[in-house]
Amino acid sequence: MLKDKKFFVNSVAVFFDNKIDKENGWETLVCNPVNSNYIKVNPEGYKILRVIEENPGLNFFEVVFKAKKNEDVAQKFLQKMIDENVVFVQ
Amino acid sequence: MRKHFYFRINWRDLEKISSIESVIKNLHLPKNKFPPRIFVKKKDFFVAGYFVSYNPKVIIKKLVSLCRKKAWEEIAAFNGDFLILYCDMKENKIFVISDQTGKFPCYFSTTAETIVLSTSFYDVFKSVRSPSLDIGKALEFIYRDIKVTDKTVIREVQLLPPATLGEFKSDGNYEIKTLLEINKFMNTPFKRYSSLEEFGDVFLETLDGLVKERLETLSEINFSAEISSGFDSSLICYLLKKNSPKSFISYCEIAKAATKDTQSNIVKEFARKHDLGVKFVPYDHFFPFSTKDDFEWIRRGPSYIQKSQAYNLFYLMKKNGNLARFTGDGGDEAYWSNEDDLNLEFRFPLQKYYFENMALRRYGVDKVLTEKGLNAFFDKERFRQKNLYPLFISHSAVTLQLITFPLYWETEVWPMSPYMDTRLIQIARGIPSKGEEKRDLKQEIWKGKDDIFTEGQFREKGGTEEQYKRFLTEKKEFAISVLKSSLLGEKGWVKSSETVNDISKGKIQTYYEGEVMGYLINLLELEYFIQQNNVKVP
Repeated sequence: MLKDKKFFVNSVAVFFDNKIDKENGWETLVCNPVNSNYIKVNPEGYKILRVIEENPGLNFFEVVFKAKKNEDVAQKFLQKMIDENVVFVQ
Repeated sequence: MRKHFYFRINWRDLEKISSIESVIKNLHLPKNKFPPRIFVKKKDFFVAGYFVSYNPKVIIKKLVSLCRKKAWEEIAAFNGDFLILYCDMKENKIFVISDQTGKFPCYFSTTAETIVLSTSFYDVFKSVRSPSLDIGKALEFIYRDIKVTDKTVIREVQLLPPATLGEFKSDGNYEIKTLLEINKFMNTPFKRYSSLEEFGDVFLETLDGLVKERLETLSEINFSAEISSGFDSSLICYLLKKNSPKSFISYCEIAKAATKDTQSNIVKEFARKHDLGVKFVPYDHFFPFSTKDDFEWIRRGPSYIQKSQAYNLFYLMKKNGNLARFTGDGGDEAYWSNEDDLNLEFRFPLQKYYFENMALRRYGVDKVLTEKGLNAFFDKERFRQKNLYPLFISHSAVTLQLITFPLYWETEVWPMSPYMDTRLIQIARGIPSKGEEKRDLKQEIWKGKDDIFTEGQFREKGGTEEQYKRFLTEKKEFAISVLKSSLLGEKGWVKSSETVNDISKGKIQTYYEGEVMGYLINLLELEYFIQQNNVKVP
């Protein structure tokens, strides 16, 4: 269950740059480091990833609170990111 | 060595240009048969360089007019081979622009007093009093990074990236500006093909036109072609035969240890099918560091290609009266330029660049770089500080031209690269390639074309590793000697001592794994260059 996990961003799977990210309307590209597949991330997902990257080890509710996102949206997104090895949990 | 385009001027002279002659005296503009040299001088400006445009067809008068209007974006969009220096006496500025393909590199160095510009990296390098190594670029070189930026391995020497404008002002400042209009290119309507066969037909028709254009431009100039047992160069040879009444020779490099790359029987069969004249050029005795000439080339600037081998080929073409050679350069990359990939490349260039480099970690770079070297290389902040310049033609194809320039300039055999044309990239945007492995793509596209290709060509093509890895055994003394004096090793960037130990004891199997051999070759080239030229290493 995601809701009792702590979240961490896989640093090799993400690359944030405020200038470029702003120019792209806070969309970004992440990469599954296992199969090198690219995944486009929309602004909602971007916010979630940045929150976790800046605050490693947050639990699900802390992520939702800090990112100000809907729980269902966050859950679906985070599961996708875990499946793609962009986020890992403990 | 043949002289290069070279321009050196003091900022002070640029500020107060007394006469156009006072500026021109600083310019060396050697003659060149193709592309031809251009030089137009008026009272308050001059235009100098080399220029040919395949599309649109542009006469010099029109080019000069565009320069006067500062219509740089329009010039940059040409499909042609050119380097243009424009000196504006009214504004006291120098403008430099080169074409999209990297065929004319332009290196420069600036100090508080001077600007030096040249197509020769070495000539600009020699103008620097106390050269120092750009460690980031040096690590990228070892890693065989092919991204075109404004940096070189020497901190004080920069590259003007293709299709950018270098503007040099009399106050000592300069600016590099991207000229390619990405949105315009990506907003151009294109067709999404329903099948690879349909795509192949349009691709072929377009390529046919591009070859014809280039043949028309060459006019009376004799040309040759390169050919291997793959699809790219052989398709060019087929189109040359179809479109030119002139006889020409296709040159095929072969080596006993490199039959995975090219097999002579496949080339012979193709040649018979299309009545092509082929000359086989053995390169068995060429591998990294195998000849004295290699060291002289490396001393003048490290690069990824086997220089004496390439020089040998071009010299042979020149000896046989050719001033141009058609190549398959950019072929692979043209097929890979689908809409999705281009979108990612232009929207997320830095992210893609970082991820592409991270993906290569698994190929053994930690065998050559120390922890310090790896940490520096993969530092995200280093990537964030990069200036990236978009290109429609792939960076790997452009890099190949940039690094081969010294050889084809020296031999005066100009590369004609029909695949490196933006019109082909526009076609490729619509390729239906989802799910196809890159290596299988060409085979799928051309499988119905038995009027062009032979059965033998539909095979998995390998590389030339078996040939090139010979240096580790046959030139091991050189490798040991260079690494024992390693300046990069001394500063903790590379594992020079471990490598010396391994090579001395014959423990070299690990260097044949992944891409380690390539990293080691690049390290040795770079190390030889910096040792020979007393470059300061941080």
